Amino acid sequence: MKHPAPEQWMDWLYQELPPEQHHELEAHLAMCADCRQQVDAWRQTMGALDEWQVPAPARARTRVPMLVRWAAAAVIVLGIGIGIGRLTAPPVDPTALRAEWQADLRGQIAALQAANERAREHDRAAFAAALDALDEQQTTAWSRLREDLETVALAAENRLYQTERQLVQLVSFTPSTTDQPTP
Amino acid sequence: MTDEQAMWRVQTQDDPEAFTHLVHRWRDAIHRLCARMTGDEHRAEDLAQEAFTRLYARRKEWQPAAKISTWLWRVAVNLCHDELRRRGRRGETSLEQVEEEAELPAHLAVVEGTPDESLADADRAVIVRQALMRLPETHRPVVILKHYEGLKFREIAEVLGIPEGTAKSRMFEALGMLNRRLAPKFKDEYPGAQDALANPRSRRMRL
Repeated sequence: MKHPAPEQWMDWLYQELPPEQHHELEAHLAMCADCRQQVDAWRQTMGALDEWQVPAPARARTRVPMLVRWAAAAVIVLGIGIGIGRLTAPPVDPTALRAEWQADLRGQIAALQAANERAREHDRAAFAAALDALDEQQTTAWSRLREDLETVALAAENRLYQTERQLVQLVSFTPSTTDQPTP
Repeated sequence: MTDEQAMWRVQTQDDPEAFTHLVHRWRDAIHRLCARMTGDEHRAEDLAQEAFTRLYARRKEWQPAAKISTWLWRVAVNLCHDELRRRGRRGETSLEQVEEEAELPAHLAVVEGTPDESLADADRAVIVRQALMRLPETHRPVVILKHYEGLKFREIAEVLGIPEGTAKSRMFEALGMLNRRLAPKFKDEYPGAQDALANPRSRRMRL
């Protein structure tokens, strides 16, 4: 029996033969166990090849700005995450969950209040220190002013005293006869 | 608009819409080819992009009598050969080698005759990819263009610049090589495959 060449079987397997030749090879296959076995092996290999499918790379279908694409991707990922979380999470007791959340929230609020109080106390201390410093500055300025005024007052008093003495001397002055001009 | 009409517009008018038409029409197919040639689906995206870049850059060289698909397939195959040669020169480890060196689970190890009872889809895809990547570079594009992309042997011969008979002989040689690798892995699903290998005439035929 003359067997078809492997090249012919390739044409037959991939449907490239004219109908007449295709039927001829089919008829041969029906009565030739060797060819049938070989063709089966090729077919099985062809079937195995189909196991590797390459998916098309993901592409944006419309021209959307990159930021919007990332935002959309983030929303999708977040949604998937939430969905998976909801699906895979064990059943939740709302009362227990609420109690747990309340305790947690109360703890957080107390911590925030304490931190707030500490911050306020710190501000208050800083403000008081600033006022004290200001008071001290003013006190120093007042005392210097007072000293200056006292100095001025003393100087003025001294000057008045001297002026008064000069006036008294002037009033008590009597000119001598020798000093009178001759007519 | 046919591919050739689109290419004519690209060639004569630098028509961006016509070029977009060609890209949309062929990008997935070229990506698949590059992924199967290199075994790297992500790198294949760059290679596909490079193929279209070359198509545009060399648009003036296109002869209107030539099929644009043939030209595009040829450019992509050549790019993949270049990529594989570059990898070889750089001594890069392919994904296939990494998988093989990383102590695959027993059911994935490439040991002929190992029975596989329940291969997951992903495992089967890995095995097929490994088997394809081990084909000679002369045979791999024939299998990819014929089996996965459905080209006629005549078209494959034209793309690769070989006689049609050579394309067919490379195809059955490749199927024989693949059979020897895949039959033990897929034994339970394709029980007749190994029997064919035991047949004396089959051994003669599979080279």
